[in-house]
Formats: sequence, structure tokens, C-alpha cells
Amino acid sequence: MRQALLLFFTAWLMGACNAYYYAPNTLHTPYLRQRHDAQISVGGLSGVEFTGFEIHASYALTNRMAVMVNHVQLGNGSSNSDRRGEGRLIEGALGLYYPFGENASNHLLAGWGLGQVAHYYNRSLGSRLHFHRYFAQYGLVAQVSALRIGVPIRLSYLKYQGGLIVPRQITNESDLLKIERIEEEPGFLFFEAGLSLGVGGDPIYVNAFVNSASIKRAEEFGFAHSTIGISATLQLGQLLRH
Amino acid sequence: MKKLSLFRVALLGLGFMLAACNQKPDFEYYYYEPEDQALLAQYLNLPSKPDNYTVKLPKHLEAIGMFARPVERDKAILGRVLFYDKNLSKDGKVSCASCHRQEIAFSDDKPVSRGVFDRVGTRNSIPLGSVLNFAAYYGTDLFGPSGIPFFWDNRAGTASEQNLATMTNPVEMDMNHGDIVRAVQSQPYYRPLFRMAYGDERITVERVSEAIANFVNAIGSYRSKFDREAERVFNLRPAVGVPFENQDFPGFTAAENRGKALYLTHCASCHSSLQQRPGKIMANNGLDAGTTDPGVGGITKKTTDMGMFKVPLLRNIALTAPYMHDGRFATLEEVIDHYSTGIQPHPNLSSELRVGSQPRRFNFTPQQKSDLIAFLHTLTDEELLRDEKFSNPFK
Repeated sequence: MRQALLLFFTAWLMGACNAYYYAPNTLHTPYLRQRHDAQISVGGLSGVEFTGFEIHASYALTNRMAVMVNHVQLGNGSSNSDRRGEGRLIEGALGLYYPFGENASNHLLAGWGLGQVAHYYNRSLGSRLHFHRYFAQYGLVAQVSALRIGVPIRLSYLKYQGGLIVPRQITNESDLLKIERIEEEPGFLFFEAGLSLGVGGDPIYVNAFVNSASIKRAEEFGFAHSTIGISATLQLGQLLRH
Repeated sequence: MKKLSLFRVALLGLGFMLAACNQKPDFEYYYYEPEDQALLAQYLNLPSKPDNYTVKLPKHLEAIGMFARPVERDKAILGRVLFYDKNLSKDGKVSCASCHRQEIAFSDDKPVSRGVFDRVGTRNSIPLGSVLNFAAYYGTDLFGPSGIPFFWDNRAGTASEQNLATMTNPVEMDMNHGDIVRAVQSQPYYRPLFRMAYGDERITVERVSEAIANFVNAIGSYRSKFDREAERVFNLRPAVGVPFENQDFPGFTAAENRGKALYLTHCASCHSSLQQRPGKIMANNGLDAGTTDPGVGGITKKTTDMGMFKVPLLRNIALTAPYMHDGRFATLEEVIDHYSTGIQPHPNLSSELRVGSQPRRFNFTPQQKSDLIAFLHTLTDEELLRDEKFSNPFK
């Protein structure tokens, strides 16, 4: 048993050295029902071997049109470890929302984001890749008393624009292979889906998220399949309307 | 008006996205330290992104157990420079590439090659692009006694032994071990290349020959029309018990398919059906009735090996004239004429070329000769001839 545990932790520690070049950020489902409804969320996001934080803001420009802005920053390892990775993405979206029933709303947003992912080996830069992500997201969110449930789906097109690679620094050859495979691909088109559960009451909710990306041969490119997150959301509609 | 604006914005976004769709990422590689890059750039055209020397063989070859030899990338890159470096010869005018020219599948177009000070060799340069490439069966280091050795007389067990023997051959490059080390040490561009390949700048003969071997072992010919068609038919999963190579290849002309059938009937038992491992390590093919060159027998001293030579694969054969170990045949037509009516009764003549004690006469018709030649042209791997990572890196 002790040996099995030791093996598990060794495998886990070794696994923590994997380099990731993409991970799905949270598919936020803004609960917008009328003009000037707005929300801001701040939270944490985690994958198998990385963690980070996210900021999300959305705003109903009119009774039908909304904007959304997301920022995510992820990392693994520490500045003292042999290997360290960090990634960030900022994106904006514009689209329509449509409230229905007493406590539900759905939306269709299209957006574009800029991101980069960097990996360091022995404290030196090994690679820094820049990407764009275009997306269209449909989401349905409903509130049942203190519970808020969101079901989003996103069609994403991920495109690496360029990057800087220092092969001599990359101590793990498989990381270089992943980069070379990414370089060969003109882009990646895939679906992402999520589920969010929130608890609270106006103006504050606490939410938990699961996000999943269906990318073919994801492991070959160093793409993470899924992330989980938790956030605190502040509903600003009342304030803005007054 | 509002709706129109939103539509325009969406259209603009879509256009922007589509415009970006088909462009590959623009990654910049900084393979060497900046000062090393500057030094290398003075002498060499090496890409900032390291070349990938990994070989992925077609499925039909993998299915019969072929695999690419393991190659270490940084050693292959160093080996490429050494392969083309004329400083590794006594008169500074001959490199490995002098007798193994990429544009003709790493062969020489002379019957016998010329070495330093224009010294004349004794045998035809073996085309490196004709062996796939040492991949599954070449080299005694991986395969022991069953590994196919190197040179026409099979005297070297590995590619390292082969290239070292060539560099020290008085007719070819005429260097001794000390000369080789000094020649490499005197060139500044080798310092970073050795550091990348070996972790330090120490230059030894063993490292030089190992690096060249890595480069040579990476030279793979496996993308010919024949390979493409063979893989295509293999993927169709023909009926069990019917060798897929025996079926007509859909992408072949009628002449090529007829030539393939003739080849499989009359030639493949020695040269192999899929250009993988020759059926025989050595053979006498009746060029002469007596022994003019002892070949393998000159090494083993056995009477039964006299006049025996390596049996080559026929990859890129249309490019590698002149033919035979002494380059006596200038064209494929002459080679086929030899097998058709010209085989001589050498005492060690291969059994496939004999009928009883007499040399066999295939008596090919003009049509059959033409079909065979059409088939042999399908064995050319054009990509190998143009592949940058095997080209001369010197400015």
C-alpha cells in the first residue's frame, strides 16, 4: 500500500512537469435580463497540473445587446523550479441576450481573444507562443430561488499566430515535439461545453464551474481537456440602474 | 441602422477570422546561443529551427517489421556539416559528398570515384539513397551477425566504421586519426556544433564518425511512386494470402505494372519485393567468368566468397548510373541486357542466375526490357533529392 502511494505521488509529481499550450477558460454564463444588467466575477481556475485566476465582466448595453470581457491567467511550477509554465488570455465578445420566463435568460455571443503561453526551463525561456481565439457561445442560465444554473456551449477556433522557441533550453524533447505539431496546424476548430452552479442572492453569488474542450489528439499538442473553477459574482444591475 | 452596423461588425469579424485561417504559425526558433548563431552564420546555412531527422516509414514497410534507425538530431546536424566538409581530406578538395551527391541519390556518376589528388578508386560509389536507409537490417551494431555490413565487400559492420575507413583510405580522403581531429579543431564552426551534439567541445575521431553515421543513417528513401502505391494498395487490405505487391497498382501505368510483375518474378528474390532487405547479403551475378576483383573473398579469403559483392537495393536506381561494383554499365538497358543474355559462368555464380551449371538466359523481349525500365523509374524518391536537411550547408 505504501509502495502504491509512493508510486502515485511520484507519478503525480512527474506529471506536474507536463507543458500545456492551451486550456479551456471558464464558459461564463452572464445572467442578463434587461438593459444595464451587469455582473463582475472573480475566481480561481484549475486543471490537472495548473492553477490560475479569472476575471469576467458582462453588461447589457440595450434590452437585447450585451458585451462580455474575460481575462484568465494560469500557471504551473514556481519560479525556482526546473520547469514553469504560464498562460494568459484576454477576450471580448458582443452579442444578443434574450430573457424568458420569470427567471431565465439565454444569450448568443461572438468574440475574439488574444493569448500567450510561455514555458521556462531552468529559469530560462524555452518557448512563448501567441494565439488568437475566435468563438461563438450560446448559453442558457436559469435561477431557481437561491440556485443559479448555467449551461453554455462554445464553438472555438484557436489559431497560433507565432512564437519564440529556444530549443536548447527545452529540456523535455516531447515539449518541442508538441510545439512542432502545433506549428504544422493552420488552426484548431472545436467545441467547448461547461456547466456552472451558483448559490447566493442578489447581489452576490458563489459559483462552481466545469469546462471541457473536445479537441482531437489534444495530448499530442499539449492541450488540456478540462478545467474546473470557482468564483464570486457581483450583480451590478440594481446599482447601475439607479 | 443599428442592425446594419451590427451586421457590418459581424461581417468584418468573420472576414478577419477567415483571412487568418489558412496561415501557419510564424514561430521563430533560436536553436543556438546568439554568439554561436553569428559564428555559424559566417560559414554555414543552418536553419534556426533544428531539422527534424525523424523518419516515419510508410505503413506497408512498418507492417513487415521495418523501422527507421534511431538518429540523434544534434549529432545528425553536426554530421551533415562533416559530411560536406572538404577539410576532412588531405588535399582539402574531397568530402564525403564528393562521391555521394544528393542530386543523384547520394551516388557518383563516374564508374569509379576519384579521391584526393585525383587518385582513382577501384569501385563504384554506393548510392546512400539506395538503402532504405540502413533502417531495418543494416549494421551489425543493432542486428549482430544478421545485420548487413557496409561497402561492396561488406568489410565494415557499421556506418561509423564505414565512414572512418573512407576518411583514412589513401585513395579516397587519405587522413589519419590525428589529421581528422586537427582538421575539425581548426574550424571554428565545429565548437558550437560539438557542444550541441555532445555537451562539450571535445573533438575525437569517434565523435566525428558517430556524427557522420547519424547523418547518413537519417538519409531515407521511402517516398517513391512505388512506395506510395504500395502503401495505397496495402491500406486497401487485399485478400489474405495474396501478397499486396503482386496486385496491379492503380496509380501505375500498364507498362509499370507489367515491369513490376517481371521484377517480382525474376529480380525480387535477391533485390527484395518491397525494396526492404535484400534477399541475399552478397552474390556473384556473373559479370565475368573469372575473378577480376575478389570482393567479399578479398576480406574473408574464402574461395566460396571470391567474386561476391553486396546485393544492393534498387531504390533510386534510375539516377545512380553507372552500375555494378565497377561501374561498367552506363545505362539500365545495359544492365538488363546483361541479365537477359550476358551472364557469365563464374564458379560462385548465384543459384538464381544458373540453370544447372550453365548461366541462365532470361531472354527478355524488347517490350519486357522497356517495361522493366519503366518500373525501375518508379523507385525514384524525388523528395530525397530536394530535401534541404540533407543538402550542402556550406556557404
